[in-house]
Amino acid sequence: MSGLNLIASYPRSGNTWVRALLTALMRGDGSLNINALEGPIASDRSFFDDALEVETSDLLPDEQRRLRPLAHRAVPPQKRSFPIKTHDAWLPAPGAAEPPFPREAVGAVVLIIRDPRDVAPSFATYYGVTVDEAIAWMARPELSIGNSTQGLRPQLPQLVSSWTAHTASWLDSGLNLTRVRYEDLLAAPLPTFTAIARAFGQSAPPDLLASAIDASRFDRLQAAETREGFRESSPEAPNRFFGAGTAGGWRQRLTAAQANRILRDHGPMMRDLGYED
Amino acid sequence: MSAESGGVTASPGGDLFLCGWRVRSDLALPELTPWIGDDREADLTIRIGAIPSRLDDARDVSPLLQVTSQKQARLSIDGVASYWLRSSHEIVVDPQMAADSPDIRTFLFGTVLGLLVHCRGLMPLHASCIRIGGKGVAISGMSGAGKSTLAAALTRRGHALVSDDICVIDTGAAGGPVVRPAFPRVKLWQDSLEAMGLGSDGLEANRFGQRKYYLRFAGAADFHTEPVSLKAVFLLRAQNVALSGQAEIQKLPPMAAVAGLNDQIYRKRTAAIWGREGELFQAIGQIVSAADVYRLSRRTDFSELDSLLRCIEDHVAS
Repeated sequence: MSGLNLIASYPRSGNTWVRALLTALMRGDGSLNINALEGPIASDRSFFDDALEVETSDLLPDEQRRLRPLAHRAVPPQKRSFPIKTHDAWLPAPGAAEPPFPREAVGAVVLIIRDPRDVAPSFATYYGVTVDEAIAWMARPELSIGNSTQGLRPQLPQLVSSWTAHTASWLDSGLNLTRVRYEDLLAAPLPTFTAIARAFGQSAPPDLLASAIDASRFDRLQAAETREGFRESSPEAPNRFFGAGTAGGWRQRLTAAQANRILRDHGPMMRDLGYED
Repeated sequence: MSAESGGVTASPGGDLFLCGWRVRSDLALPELTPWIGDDREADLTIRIGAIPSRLDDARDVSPLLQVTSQKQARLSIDGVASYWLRSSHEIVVDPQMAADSPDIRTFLFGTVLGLLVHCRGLMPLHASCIRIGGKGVAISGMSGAGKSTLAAALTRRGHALVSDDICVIDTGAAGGPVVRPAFPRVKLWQDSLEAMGLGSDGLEANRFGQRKYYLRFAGAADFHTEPVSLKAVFLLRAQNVALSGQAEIQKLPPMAAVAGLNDQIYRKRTAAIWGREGELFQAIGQIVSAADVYRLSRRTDFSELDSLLRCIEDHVAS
């Protein structure tokens, strides 16, 4: 059986929240340490350094992108390993011949999708840019994260692409994919989370699911981050990783012009996913 | 003088020093210091020559690396060079660009050196090493953790550099584990150079077009060839934010020290194929009993560099 299970999403769309839910489910005792979340991150440089037996910091960006899928072939995933978080689009990045994971190695994919109007303000905070800039980035087919020419980042470059192209790339990938809307996970956590656990073949008795959902409530995650700090938060927004975790917050946070621009950029895909007014 | 065995001509500028070995090289290796030891035969020859595309009975460890059970290895970096570790005494390099390009040495003094160290029964730790008050201090961690930055900054405070990125440890030395000095050069990204008030003008780039550079320390006081006792290892953890209740430097109990060091064995997958896990585990045990092992959490920016350096010096002195 293929073992490369993926939690795929656009940045700021609930990926870490799902990792928190799955971590709490795995622990099964209702406790959750946000600085010890399970799960590798797909672009983690140390994985590729180990897999390739070469420092990726000595490789040029095109070489890194070409070698990413090949590294997964060199180190096949272990059976029953925790799903991997990824913000990559299912597209060949510049210099690469194929998407970042070898198709034959991918097991189950859970794609988390969030209304791009709620993604935009969160994206702006995380990357330290204005909301208008965030909206412009989210419309760029060539958008890539994890790049730096001046220094070294802990992640390899990842082709994220525009919100529409990212979403379409996964939906059209032909992979064994379960689609989850962030909004459904908020509104109906139990059945939605059950579907996620099932997709990854994780046993999920209702009482354990309920306690994992409780342990991963946004107010708890936020309080823990304020209290202890969160190592995965960004330098641009230290310890402000977990937002309010609401759906429809864009009505307060975006101007009418900003909301319209997102609708203009991503209208067809948004309508397909039920994001309309 | 009689011809050398193996038909390798003398190094262009004479023999060179690397980790205690006498090196004879076809390839110019400007970062190495001259051999000033005894008149032994060369311990290691580096030739320019053709390399078979496939080693006999090789297995692919990665898309870039073949290894054999006889401890041979072939590394291939398209457009740069292929490298053949033929024995513990011989490396063949087949350049695909000008032979004096730093790009070629980047991988020679990276993976190839690491595998040679395994081949010779020593332990390569993913660490830079500094001599502080006569004690060997290794600064270990994954790429980007800040090993070279801290090592370079400590060198600029008057301590001698022992090695960068690969710390060659001999745990069989009488009197406990020692680090064998490599050469006086670190590799630094533009942002690290700037944080130390240095520019990149005139420095060789690690790779063509990359803003990561070779910074060489030329002064005689900056480098000694004698091995140094390993007395402290700092395992770096870089993070974007400080976590509450987390000490900047924390001494690790033996079990955590063993696990932390094991994580930082350089080119671990090939070492396992070569059956070295047992001896490396023993080597780590010897290091843990002779040296203090600390976890050092640092912010990824350079705002606290000076206080961190003083902190390291204080821990080593105490």
